[in-house]
Amino acid sequence: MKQTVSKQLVKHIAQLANIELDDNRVDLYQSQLSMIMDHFDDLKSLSFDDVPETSRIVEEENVWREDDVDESFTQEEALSNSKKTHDGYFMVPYLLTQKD
Amino acid sequence: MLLDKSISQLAKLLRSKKVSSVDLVTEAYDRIADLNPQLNSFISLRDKEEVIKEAKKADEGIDQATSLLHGIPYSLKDAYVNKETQTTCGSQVLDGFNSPYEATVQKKLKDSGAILIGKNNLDAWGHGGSTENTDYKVGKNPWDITRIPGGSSGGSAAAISSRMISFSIGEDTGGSIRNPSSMCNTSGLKVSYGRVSRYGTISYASSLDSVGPMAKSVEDLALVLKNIIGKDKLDATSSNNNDTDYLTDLNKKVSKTIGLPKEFFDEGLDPKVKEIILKAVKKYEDAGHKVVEVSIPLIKYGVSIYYLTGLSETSSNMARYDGVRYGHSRQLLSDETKRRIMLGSYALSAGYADELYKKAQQARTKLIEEFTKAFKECDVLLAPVTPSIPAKIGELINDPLKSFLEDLYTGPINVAGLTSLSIPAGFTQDKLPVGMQLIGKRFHEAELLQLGHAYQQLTNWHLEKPSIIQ
Repeated sequence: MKQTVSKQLVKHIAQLANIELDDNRVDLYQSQLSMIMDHFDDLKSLSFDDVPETSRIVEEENVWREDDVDESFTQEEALSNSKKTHDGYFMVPYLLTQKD
Repeated sequence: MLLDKSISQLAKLLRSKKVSSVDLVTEAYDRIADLNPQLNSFISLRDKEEVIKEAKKADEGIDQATSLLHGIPYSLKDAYVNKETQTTCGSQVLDGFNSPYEATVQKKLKDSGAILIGKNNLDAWGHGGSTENTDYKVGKNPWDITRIPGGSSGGSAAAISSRMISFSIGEDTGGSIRNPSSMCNTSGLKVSYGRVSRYGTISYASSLDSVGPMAKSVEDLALVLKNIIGKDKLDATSSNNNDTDYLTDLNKKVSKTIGLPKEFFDEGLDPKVKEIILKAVKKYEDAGHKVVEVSIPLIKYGVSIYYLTGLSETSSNMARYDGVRYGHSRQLLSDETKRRIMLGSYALSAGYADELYKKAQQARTKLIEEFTKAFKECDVLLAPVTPSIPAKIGELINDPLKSFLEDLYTGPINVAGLTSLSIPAGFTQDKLPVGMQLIGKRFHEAELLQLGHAYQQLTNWHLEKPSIIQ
């Protein structure tokens, strides 16, 4: 069967989405995503030169409020669902590693 | 069986002290203990003793009660945050998550005096139409436990159908209230975008998500809806447009023009479903309503328009699950959810966004125009909810495209921000429920509820119960 989505593309979008895939999953998703993308191809037959996009249903209207200090979570509440905390802070994974 | 009665009947019994809220709550827990092991409708239940205490308080306060929901047991789809139980959204990524805040819909129901019993099973993150894509136990249909209850709000529909609960709050992004309502013989309302506050809803696709009631009858839906609408400063997309009293006008005799969008009856629709829907149309005609054929040609592309929109939005919404502030690693997401996030990332990625996401949003503009045009020729649209009868468990979860195609008649309604009511329309020869949807203009919920209620005065489909409880 024709595979519209290449293995390389599967790996690329997995990386964009921060999802780790093993080789079995790359193969499986390649065929499943190809099948779905082939279906989405039906839109290609439509042409909408100057048609504006609709990305939301509600009227575009700015919502304002006074910049008053309001009640919010206590530090304890905010941290209560985190598995890694330290001295009242969230512990996040390393983003930068130091070279030796 | 008390929970077989309508909310207004129960409210009367509570006020006359013939029945107590403790009785209702006890019955709910007993039936859940009896049936949930077979149906997997609930993920979390509140501590029974704590709830009984709450019910006792409700009984003491019944003489001062202002809402008919006072003392009535209900459940939430596990896609809403609340403080009484964990919130999982059907995914092990959120297993054990205890929200420090609660959804507006939950606050409103609590304020009305209704009593939360537990949280219902769903396709994780709303990703699915079968309640199989859950990291908890697969949801079953009370009418045939070898079949799916529909989804993603499948646990809510199964719990109402089997009378474990009086009503539930579902969430509908592309059919998630209507599809399981149809498959479990219950009634469900997908409200117009903006009608009910989405604050505290775990977002699937933010421009499509809607919060709505699920119950045994249209009358019950009207009653619940009245209690949950309103502008909410915590949801900028919630609307002020809420001055309707859904109950007083419910019995008003109306004569409407009903449009049958011919694309909803094309090939692909199971003839068994079609026959049942056309009988329902006849019922309306016999009752004096006018029926006309209308056309919404872009429905043919409805699955692509809906999914390219919904999956793009979900890929963005799901980015927050990084396992740092709450929840576990996103690597624990299910295959279905990973595929959906990846499709959305693809549709938004450089080089593809113009032909995928952007094109779907242009098609969305045209689709809305087509609905607007159809509504010039009729007051409401009548259509099937799903093209097929409830699938066997395993059939859809292993065929992702087939599962997407099941949303053909429901997804486009969310894309256009309309309202749609799903009600029981009959049964197949094998006694599987089939529902129909009445689709209305934005904020025309009252019109749909009137028409749906009128149908339920003429038919008894909605009163039928699965043999599992008889």
